[in-house]
Amino acid sequence: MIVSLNEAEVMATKAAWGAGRPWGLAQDAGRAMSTLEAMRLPGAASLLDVLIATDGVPCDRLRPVSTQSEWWQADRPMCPVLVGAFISDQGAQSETVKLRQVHAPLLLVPFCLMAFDNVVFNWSGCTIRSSDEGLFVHGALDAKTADQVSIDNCAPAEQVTHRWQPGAVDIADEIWEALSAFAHRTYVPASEASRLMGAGAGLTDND
Amino acid sequence: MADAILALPDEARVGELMRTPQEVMRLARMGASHQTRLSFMRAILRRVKREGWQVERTLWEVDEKGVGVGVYEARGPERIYSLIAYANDLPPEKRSDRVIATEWDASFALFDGVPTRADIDRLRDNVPKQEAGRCAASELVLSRANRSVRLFDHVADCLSQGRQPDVAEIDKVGYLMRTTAVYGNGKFGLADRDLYAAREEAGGPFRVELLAVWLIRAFTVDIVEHMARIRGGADAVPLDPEIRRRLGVGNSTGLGMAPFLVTHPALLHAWMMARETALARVRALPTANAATIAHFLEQLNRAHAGLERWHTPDERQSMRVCKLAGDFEMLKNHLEAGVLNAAEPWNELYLWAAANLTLEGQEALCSLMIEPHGALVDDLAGDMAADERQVFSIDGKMRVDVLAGLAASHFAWALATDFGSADQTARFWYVSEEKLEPRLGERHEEDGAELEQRLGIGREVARMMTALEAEPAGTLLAEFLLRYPEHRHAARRVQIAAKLPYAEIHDNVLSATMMPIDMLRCKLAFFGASRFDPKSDRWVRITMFADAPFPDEIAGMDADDWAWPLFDEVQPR
Repeated sequence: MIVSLNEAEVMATKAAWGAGRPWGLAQDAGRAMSTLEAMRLPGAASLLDVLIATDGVPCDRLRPVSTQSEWWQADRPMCPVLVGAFISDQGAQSETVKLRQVHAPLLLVPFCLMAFDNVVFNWSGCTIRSSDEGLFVHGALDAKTADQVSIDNCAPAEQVTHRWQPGAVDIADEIWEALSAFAHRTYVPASEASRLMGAGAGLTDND
Repeated sequence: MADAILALPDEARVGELMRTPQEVMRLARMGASHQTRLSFMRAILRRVKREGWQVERTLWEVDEKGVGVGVYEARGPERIYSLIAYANDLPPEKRSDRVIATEWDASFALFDGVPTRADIDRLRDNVPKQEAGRCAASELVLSRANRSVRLFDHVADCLSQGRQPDVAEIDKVGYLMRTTAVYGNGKFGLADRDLYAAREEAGGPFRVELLAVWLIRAFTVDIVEHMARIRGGADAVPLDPEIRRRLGVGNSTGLGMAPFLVTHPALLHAWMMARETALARVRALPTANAATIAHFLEQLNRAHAGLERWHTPDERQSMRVCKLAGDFEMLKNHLEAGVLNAAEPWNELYLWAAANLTLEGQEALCSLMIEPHGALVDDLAGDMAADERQVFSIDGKMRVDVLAGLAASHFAWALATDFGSADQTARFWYVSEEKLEPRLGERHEEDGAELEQRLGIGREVARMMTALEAEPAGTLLAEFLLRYPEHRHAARRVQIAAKLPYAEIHDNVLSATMMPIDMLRCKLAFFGASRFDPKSDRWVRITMFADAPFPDEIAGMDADDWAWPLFDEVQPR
C-alpha cells in the first residue's frame, strides 16, 4: 500500500490508541513511526511488532521500574514508545543509557533524535549512528526484542545510509491491514440515531 | 492608495492593545468571525495578481450530456498547477453533500505541474470515487462538488435562450456548485504538505486547496455555459461578466472539520496571532487620515448593503444578521459624531463597539477597521503557517509544580468548570465505524463514550491537575509522565499554551450548549468565506470567492476589492 506520510502517522496514532496506549502517547507513536518511514526504515513493521506483543498489557508493566544504572521492567520486555518518550522528555543524558529487554528497539531512534545532538545505538548485531544529515545503519533492523540496548552520545556519523525525505512510502499490505485492525477498535459502531444526527446533515442536499 | 501616508504605530502600544486569549478564544466570539484581508483566499488572489499568474483552459472534452474532463493550467512565476475537472451526469436521487456520498456532479484534482494524458486517465479512475480512489504525490488537492440544481438549471435555461439569468435568483443561492470536502495534505494518498511547504506560493495555510477552489469556480461557469450551448445552440449566450462575478463556489461543511482547530494548536495560534496583531496595529495608530477614513466608510456601506445578500433560513443566524444590520446603523450614527477625529481613533471606535455592539457587529467592525490598512498589516498574512512538530516535544525537565502553575494561568476557564456535572460532559466526540468521519454523540444517551476522541482539552487538563496535587512539588515532569502516561496529552497542551497563547479554545467542547458551527465558522472565516448559512448546530453552508475576479479578468481588475459586494451590485435591478 502506497501511503502518504500523513496517512501513515494518522494510522499509527489510531493503532497505538486502539492497542491501549493513552492518547498523548499514541501521538508519540504516530510521530515516531512516520519519522522512521520518512527515512525509509521499517517503522510500521516495528510498531506492529510492539502492538502485537503488548496488546492488552497495561502501561505500568511496559515501563522501566528502575532507571538507575540499567533500565528494566521486572517481568517482561519494555515498550519502546514509553521508554522513548521518557528519553525525549528528559533530554540528552550524559551517561550511557542501558536498557534491558525492550521490544522493537528501532522505535527508540526517533525519540532519541529529538533529545540528543548525535546519538549511537547498539543492540544485538545492529548499530545506528546519527548526524545532522541522517542515520548510518549497520546490521539487521528487524529485532522484535533486544536483550540489551545501549544509547550514547557520539560524534556525528561520517557516512549516512538513511536520510529524511518527504513523500509517499510503501507499506506492506499485511502490515497496513494489521495496523488498520488495531485502529478499527477506536471506531464507534453506527446506530440509526447517530447516522441521522451525528454529522448533523439531512439525507438530501438538493437545492 | 489610502494607506500610503500612515504614521506607524508604537510597538509597545500595539502590545498593550492586543486582545487577550481569554477574550478572543471563546466559542461565541470565534463563531462570529468574519473574513479579513489576511484571509487565505484574499492572500492568494493578491499574489496571483502581483505575480501576473496566467490561467488557461487547455483541455475541454465534455459531451452533450455534460460528461467529460476539463483542465485549467495556472501558471505562476515558478511553477504550474493544473486543475483537472471531471464532469458527471448525476441522477438527482444520488445528489448528497455528505463526504460519504459515492457520486458527485463533478470531481477535481489539483495536479502539481502539467498532467499527461496518462495522468488524466489514471485520475479519472480514482478521483470520482470516494475511499476506493487513490491519488499520488503528484496531486495536491482532491475535491468533489454538486450542482445547485435550481440555480444551475435556471442559468443554463436562460443562457440557452439567449438571455441573462435573473440576478435575484443568483443571489438567493450564490453558487452554481458547492464542494463537499476539499482535501489536501496527504489524504487519500495526495502529496504530503512537507513536499511543497517550502514553496513561496504554496507554503501558507490552505494555499493550494483554495487555489483549486478558485479554479473550480471558473469550471462551474464553463460547464453551465457548455450545457446552455448544448440546449440552445446558436441562440446561447455566455454569462455577463458582471453577473458572473456574483457567483462563488458553495461549500457544505459538517463536523469533519470541527476537530481541526483543536488538533492544530500551533496553527490556530498563528492565525489568531496574525489577526489580533493586525487589529492591535490599527488600534494603536495615533490618527486616521481622510483617505483611510473614506476607504473605511465605503467598505462599511458596502458591508451594510451586502447584508441583503446574506440569506439564511436558520433562525439563530438570521436573527444575528438582522442585529448586525442594526449594529451597522448604530455604527454609522456613532461615526457621524466624529469619533475618527479623536486621538487613537480606531481604538476609540473599537472600545465603543465592544461596549455597544453584538459579537457579530464587533467582529465585523474588526474586519472593516483592518481593511483600509493593507500596508500596515498585509505582511502578517505571511506569518500564518505553522508546523505542529515544532511544539510537539515535551520539556520533561520542568518541575510538576511549575507545570501546575502554567495550567492554572492558561487553563483557568477549565479549572473553574465542573466536569462532574452532566451538562458539562453531555457530548463526546468519536469516529464512526461506518464512515470513518468525526461525529458528536450524547454521552448520557448513546453508547460509545469509552472511545471518545480526546478533544476536550479542558477536561484533560483538569484531570491532570487532580493527579498533580498528589505529587511532590519537585517531581520532574518526565518522571510523572512515565508513571502516568494518560496525562501526557494534557501536559503537552499546557506547555504549548504557555508558549502560544492563542493555541487553545477557552471553552468546553464537551458541554451541552457547545455549538460545533462556532468552530466551523472561525476556520472558514480565516479561509475567507462569507454568507454563513447554518443548516443545524453542526453543519454550515458558505460561499467562497463570491464577487472576486475570475481568472480571465484578474489582470485588469483590483484583485482585492471583493470582500463586500460593490455598491451598485446590491442595488435592486
